[in-house]
Amino acid sequence: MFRRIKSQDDTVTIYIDDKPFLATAGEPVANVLLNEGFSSVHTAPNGKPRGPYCMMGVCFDCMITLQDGRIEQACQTYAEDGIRLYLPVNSADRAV
Amino acid sequence: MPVDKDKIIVIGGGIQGCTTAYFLARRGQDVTLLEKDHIARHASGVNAGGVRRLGRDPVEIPLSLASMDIWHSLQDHIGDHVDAFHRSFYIKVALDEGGQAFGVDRIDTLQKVGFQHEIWLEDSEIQNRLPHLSCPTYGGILVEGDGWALPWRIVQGFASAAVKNGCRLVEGCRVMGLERSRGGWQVNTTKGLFEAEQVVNCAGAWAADLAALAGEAMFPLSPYAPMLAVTDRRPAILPAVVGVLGQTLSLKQLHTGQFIIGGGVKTPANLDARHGGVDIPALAASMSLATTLFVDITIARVIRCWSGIEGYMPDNLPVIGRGSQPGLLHGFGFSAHGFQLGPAVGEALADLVMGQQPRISLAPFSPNRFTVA
Amino acid sequence: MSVRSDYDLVIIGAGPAGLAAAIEASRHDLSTLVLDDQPAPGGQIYRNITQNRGQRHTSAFLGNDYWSGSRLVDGFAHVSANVLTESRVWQITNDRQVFFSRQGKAQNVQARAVLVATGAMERPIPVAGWTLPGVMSVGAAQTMLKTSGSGADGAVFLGSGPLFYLTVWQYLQAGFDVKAVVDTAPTRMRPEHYLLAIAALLQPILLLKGLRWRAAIRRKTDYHAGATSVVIAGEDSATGVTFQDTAKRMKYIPAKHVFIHQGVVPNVNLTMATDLRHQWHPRQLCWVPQTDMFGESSVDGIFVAGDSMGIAGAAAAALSGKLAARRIVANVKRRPFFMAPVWHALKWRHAAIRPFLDSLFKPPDDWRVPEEDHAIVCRCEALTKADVNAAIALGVSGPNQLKSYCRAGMGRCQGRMCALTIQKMIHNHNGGSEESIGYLKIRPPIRPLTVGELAALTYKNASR
Repeated sequence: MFRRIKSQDDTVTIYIDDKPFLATAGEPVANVLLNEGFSSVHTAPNGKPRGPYCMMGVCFDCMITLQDGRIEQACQTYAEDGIRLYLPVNSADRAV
Repeated sequence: MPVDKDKIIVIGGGIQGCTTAYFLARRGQDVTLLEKDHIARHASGVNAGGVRRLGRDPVEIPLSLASMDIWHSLQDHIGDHVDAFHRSFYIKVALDEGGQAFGVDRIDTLQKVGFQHEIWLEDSEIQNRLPHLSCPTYGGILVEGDGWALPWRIVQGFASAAVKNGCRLVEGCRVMGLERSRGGWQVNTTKGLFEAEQVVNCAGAWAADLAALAGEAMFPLSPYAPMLAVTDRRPAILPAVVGVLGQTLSLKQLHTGQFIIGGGVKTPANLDARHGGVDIPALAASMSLATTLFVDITIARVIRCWSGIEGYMPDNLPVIGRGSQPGLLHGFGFSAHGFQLGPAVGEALADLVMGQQPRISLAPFSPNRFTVA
Repeated sequence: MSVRSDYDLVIIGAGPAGLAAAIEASRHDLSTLVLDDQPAPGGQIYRNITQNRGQRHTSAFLGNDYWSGSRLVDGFAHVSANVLTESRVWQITNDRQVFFSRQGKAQNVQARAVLVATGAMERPIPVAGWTLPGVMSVGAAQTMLKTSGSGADGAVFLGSGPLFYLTVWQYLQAGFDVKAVVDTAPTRMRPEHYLLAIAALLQPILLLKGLRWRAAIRRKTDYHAGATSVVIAGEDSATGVTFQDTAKRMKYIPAKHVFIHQGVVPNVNLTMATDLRHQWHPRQLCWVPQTDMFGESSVDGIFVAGDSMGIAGAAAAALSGKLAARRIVANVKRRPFFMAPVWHALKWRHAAIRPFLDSLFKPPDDWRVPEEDHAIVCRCEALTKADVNAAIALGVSGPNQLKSYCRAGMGRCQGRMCALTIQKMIHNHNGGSEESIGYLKIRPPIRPLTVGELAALTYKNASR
């Protein structure tokens, strides 16, 4: 489990699978996922779970679903107040 | 007394060359297939994979229908590569009155000459067949049993089947010279000299250059690179291949959930560098059309665009038949719609090579139609 | 800030090379636009530096090399260059149209010159189990430190290389509990290492720093040197690491977090898609764009700087950015560039340690291609080494033909995580030179954009 050693200034609330979590404004939502213990976020074509690996946008294994249905990299999505994201690993349409 | 078999060389490892080599090999002929890159490297390997009878030029319909018979019995030919063909249906919708009038008229014309494969559907039937369609239509044309394929795998299937039946396959083999010799042809390549009684030119976008090497007049073949785009995986919403009457779009969804969006937007082709360009803004209109038809596609993400090098003829019809010199045959110029025709073309070229009459008339595709009287 | 439709110079990447280039270009009145995909400048090495300055005392563990980046970032804040953050460049055309997406909208600008400074990424290392949740690259762990000041207790660090030791050091400084450090570097230096170390003496401080880190790590952690036959265990997430130590004993260390690293390589997708000629770097075992000494590529007006042109570190990157920008200034403004030899010498000096590091920390063969048949080679398509080898056995001339046989390289990442592995696997089978196998053909868009975005894209410039 990841833990923070710096205090969070400027926090916002983001929603992961409709549950609220505190994030630092502007931080990649992948950070929030790791800090809150979500290491599996989507499912690979072989049915196995995957999670963030590179944290810089090249591995495409931190895929999340945004509110409008777009699949996006969590490490390239930045925390804004009220943003809602869904983890494909928890949804019916798992293979993304 | 056994007749000496002709040695045959087929040049070009795309669908036309591979099906020709396959049918010849299966009939026990001595055939060698030469390919300058690798099998299915160019147009045949990177096209949209549409396997359709819908929308064919009327003079091509008999060939297309004959070819579809082979597609529908593909397992007899290419074994387990048959998994690359997905049989479903093809619908071309009309989005305006002009498209509707064109479509209705076309069906009428086809039926008058005895072609029943294209059927007119009213909008309500189209909405039934395509439950995720996001817009009303003015009706459309349906062909049941059309579908799509993974093009490289189909071509590889025919190449493997050819080799299994005794065809010699030489890849990385570029033809540098083609000369008449006693009783046949000398084919000078980067992998050495080959000799044959008959040569079949299936060299795609390079076929006119090859024909000229052999001493034929220059065919009016223009190379272009039509573009395609593929998206990431999305939930399945599209059970068929969809097009639009009068507009540029070909849309399908693979078994992986990825959409393939194409339709023929062209970029310049670089024959020497062996690749085409990617002009992404030029795809905007097709993309817009796709989202009009299926709103769900709006959020699908394009992960790659590409183009394949294809040869286009000025009348949009291929060149299939005997060349002006003995022992030389042509099968090229399919102008971005040759993939589905491949199996029947290969069979017809094999017939011609063996001195038999093809069951489909190839008169409309005569190489002579370009020679000045 | 209003974005113009054309600029003298468009810089892609706001890491040390891009920042230094922007500062230099602005000094000579070149109209300059910097495009970067992050919310703030800094690239990977100085990531989040502006935000972290507010809490510098709690981020001291990041070390001086990190904080030295403030100078560049501050310098950049004061120049007249336009900067667009959160901008993903997805295509550069041969006539220097730069296409990018920002806030869901695809756009383009015309450039007289383009500087690609997109930097490096970690070498993809298909060790068995690397796709398990809980396994991340060491750079990812470092990014978590920089961007949210967070880390995982009880992690195993696995691999070797400068970034590897630095990150373990940072973890220790920050007070995280490091479970173990499993070092795959050779335990003894070979004659060629000593030879190359001579040039490294030009950067004594760096050498000493490295030695100091390594000594501290040996002392303060459960440290295992010379590890081989590494496997990351777990079913649906990482549960531990097994490896063989130098005495040939199998060891197992339980851990839920495993951080792996075997060096960095240029992130070539953009330069490859732009049709720049590339060459194989035999020592760094990666592809780099072919450039002249100022960074100009095989395409007129397109330059490359920083780790994008070959791994040489931040200081060399800044100098190469400056060199490229000043050369572009010389071309555009016709101002002679007398200082060039001096800057070249400085850059060379900063990169002098590189051959030694590359050689000492060369990725072991079984990290370039896994030993286990079930190890995943293509992450996106979940293809194992066995899957890919079955396709290679059919006879392939290179990665592009292989792709059509088994889909390797067709996924979202478009080869970033697998192309080097596949090249090596084909080489192992076919023989010949590694370079002759080639790389996957990369095509635009090199970052995904939605169909809707593309549908709304129109050419901005009338000159088309």
